[in-house]
Amino acid sequence: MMHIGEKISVLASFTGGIRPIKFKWSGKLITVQDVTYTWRSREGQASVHHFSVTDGASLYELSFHTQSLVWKLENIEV
Amino acid sequence: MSKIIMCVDMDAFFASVEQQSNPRLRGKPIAVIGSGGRTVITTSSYEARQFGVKTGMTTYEAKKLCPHLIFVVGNNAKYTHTCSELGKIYARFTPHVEIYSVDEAFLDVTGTHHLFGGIEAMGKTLKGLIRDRFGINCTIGAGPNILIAKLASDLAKPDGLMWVTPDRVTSLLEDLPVKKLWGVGRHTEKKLEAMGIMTCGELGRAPVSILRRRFGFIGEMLKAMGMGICDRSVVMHEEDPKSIGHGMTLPRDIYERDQIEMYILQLSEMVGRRARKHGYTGRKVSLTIRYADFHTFTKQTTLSSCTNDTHAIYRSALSILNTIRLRDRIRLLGVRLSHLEKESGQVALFDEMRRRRALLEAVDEVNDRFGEYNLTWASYRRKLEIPRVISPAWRPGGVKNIDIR
Repeated sequence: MMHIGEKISVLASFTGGIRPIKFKWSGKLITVQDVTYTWRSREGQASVHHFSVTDGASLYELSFHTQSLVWKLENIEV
Repeated sequence: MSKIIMCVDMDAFFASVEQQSNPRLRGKPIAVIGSGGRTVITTSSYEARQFGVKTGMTTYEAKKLCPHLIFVVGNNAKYTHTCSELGKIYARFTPHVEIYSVDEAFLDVTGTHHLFGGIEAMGKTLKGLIRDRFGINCTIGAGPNILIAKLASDLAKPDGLMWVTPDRVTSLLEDLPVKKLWGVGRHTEKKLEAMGIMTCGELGRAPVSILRRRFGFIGEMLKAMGMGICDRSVVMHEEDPKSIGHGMTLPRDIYERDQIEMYILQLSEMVGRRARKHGYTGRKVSLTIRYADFHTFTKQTTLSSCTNDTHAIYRSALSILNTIRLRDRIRLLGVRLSHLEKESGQVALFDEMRRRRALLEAVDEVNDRFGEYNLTWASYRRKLEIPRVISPAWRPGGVKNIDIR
């Protein structure tokens, strides 16, 4: 996977857990077709939620930092 | 009433998680590797195993066996998080859970299996929950003790469920090779072979006096294992650690003194930090060195008083290094603190000690809040290398819970 590490805007559902729905990257609006895996890690007192998602064509790894409330596109595999 | 123990063993754990994360990898031969330059295979998928790819092989060896093998750099946070979540699923079935390793757990279901429709129904429900939540498979073995439960899970792999009732133990073991028993390695297997003992049945019938003469007190345990007897119960709470240590295979073999000292300081900080986090101090410091030719040795020193201060550990490790005349480049370094005691909370008598303790507490507090190694010693002079290899001893909680990225 290629490391990106860029802040992104994400439309997400927070009902019954966090689920990214769409995100903007490189001027494109990408619709999440499937969340293939989720996991959490810690950064000090904050927890970071990670999501492996696919739009049907590429695989993306998104992260959401619960303290800074920042979403990032961490990695991509086209 | 006979006990009923379940062994839940995840199938090709790291590889299955990666195949689940990335749909393109499903059904393909993949191998999970570390991120370092000198990495080996940590797990391979069942598709890769068909070609003979095994854990511990170098990428070169594996690629020779399976040219279309796909290497995936492991993501340890994924595996440790999954392990912690699996623990929550197990706890729905019984409070008696031992997370034995990152991909293996023992459940004492003696008093709860009837609530779930019996062993087989319970096993099926548990497997289904894991598959629904993570999309990965596990194998469950059940038996009257941990030894038989573990054996059953090994025999039923992959994606299996096997229950060995007490009356079936003897017949199951009769013709089974001794190496199938948990804890019997190649070394012990060879020694047993030399005595004409090939199967578990033969081991169970062997005179204990002969086994004791050959293996010492382990001989009695081996005989009991051959008979399918094991007294070890499910351990829910981590016992007090005997030592706290870290080792590191270096990115390249080194000989330069300043480089060696930097890695020793780094390891000393990791040891000191973990000891302080869990309230332990230790009286013995040991330094392990592995040369490029894999010759490995450990030397230790005893301190005048117990410590968990990074620099006291570092200075002791350096004093050991000073006694060694290096004859080759170093491949691996390890620092360990042992003869542990729980911190007493004794107030330091001297100003310097008080200041030193306050400094360490301040550094630890910053790192607790903002993440490991955010504030650290300037003398590292370069970016710290956080451990990236999961020890089989990793646990979701306690002293064995190490921050691995």
